[in-house]
Amino acid sequence: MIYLQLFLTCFKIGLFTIGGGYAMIGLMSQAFVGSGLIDGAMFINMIAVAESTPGPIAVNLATFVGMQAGYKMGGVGWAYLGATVATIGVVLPSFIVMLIAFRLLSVYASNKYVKGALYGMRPAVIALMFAAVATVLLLVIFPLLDTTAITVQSFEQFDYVSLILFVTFLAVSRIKIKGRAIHPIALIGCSAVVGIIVFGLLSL
Amino acid sequence: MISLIERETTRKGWMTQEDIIDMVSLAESTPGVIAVNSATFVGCKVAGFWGALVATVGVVLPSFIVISSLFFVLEAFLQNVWVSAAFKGIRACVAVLILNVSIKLVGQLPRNAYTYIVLVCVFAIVTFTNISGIWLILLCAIIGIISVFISNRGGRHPHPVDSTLPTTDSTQDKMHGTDNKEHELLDNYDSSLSNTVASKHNSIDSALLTTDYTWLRGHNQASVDNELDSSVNLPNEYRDEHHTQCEDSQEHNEEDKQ
Repeated sequence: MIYLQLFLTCFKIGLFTIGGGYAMIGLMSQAFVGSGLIDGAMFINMIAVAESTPGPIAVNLATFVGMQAGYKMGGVGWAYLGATVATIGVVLPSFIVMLIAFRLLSVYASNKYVKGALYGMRPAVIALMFAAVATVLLLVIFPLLDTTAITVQSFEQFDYVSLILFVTFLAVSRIKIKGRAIHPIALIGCSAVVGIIVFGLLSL
Repeated sequence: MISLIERETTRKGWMTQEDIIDMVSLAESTPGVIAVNSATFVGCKVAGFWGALVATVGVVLPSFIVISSLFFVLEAFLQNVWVSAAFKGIRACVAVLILNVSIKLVGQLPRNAYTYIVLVCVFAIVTFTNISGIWLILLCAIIGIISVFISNRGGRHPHPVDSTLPTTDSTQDKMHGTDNKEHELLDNYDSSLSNTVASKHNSIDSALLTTDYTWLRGHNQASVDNELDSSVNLPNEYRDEHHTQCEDSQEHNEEDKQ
């Protein structure tokens, strides 16, 4: 039952990430790309769309993943069911935990053990984000690579153009104009134009 | 998003400044999407359970509508050569975006052995094996709780959770930053509230990562009281007094900690 699986996965992701949107990308890529529900390249496209549309990025991403999973299973109507299930799944833990925390406000926020747990979790959540970067990057550079099962064939395709683009974008994103970094959506826009030029016009 | 929530809810009289601080600290320290957590908090505050439900649905619905309508457009257009070329470029960019956010977040972590070991181990395990990251997060939470437990049982070293008092240079700056903001608030209270919100929250957010936030609540309470007691145009002596008052309460808090 794919919808139950989708709901439970999203619920777990919502329940175990501290720090919101980007922190969830790590768990999501592991859960959905790892299980073969979504293909890797599509997942990265989704991140870009979720980032550049209004709304919390994690909710956007969950809706998108649910939509895609449902569509794959059985067409348009099922896509909406998938999206609903995934969105409720990712939001429900927030809702439940927040209702409880609201009642226990004074106890919760200053509790030593809660702080201890948060202290323990934060580096792990951020490590997951780095893992997501590594997975995305390796997928872009070596389209055949699966990091959990590395073989010699994995490295047969090497997309050096994407690697060059990655390094360039990294440098550009570090440029500060009047103390402000370039806005992520602007960067995505630029990268789309560069993509059209490099991969479309020059067809490298 | 939080600054938007603050502006809307304080204008409607649903939340006070102190409620906002509670909201941010809770939303950051409970699992889940921060924007959804905040909306649930506001809903709960205003109208109990059903308020929370309505607010949560409200904050999620635009995402749902936008994404579900974009989906079919995207699905159709991805077959197009030019669109897929554009997305090939975008994919390289997405990796950069996540990397930048991660680097920023690492900078906010305490610099100690635990942080570095967990960063490296979890990264390696998640990237190269099929072990779910959820288990690793859970494990780290348990480690955190146990470490507090051990330090409670008369460990020799204070736990990092306790030792990061608001006495370090960076947090001291932030406190003064907040202080100045309070003065601005007093000066033109009803005109430029929203402008100060964003910067104020930045300082609050980062302070929360490293410090106990009770001092903040106390501090804020004091300033709220002052606002109630006094007129908008304050004499200079009062400001000095207000300032020293705050410093006093800082010292007080530090003494309490020790």
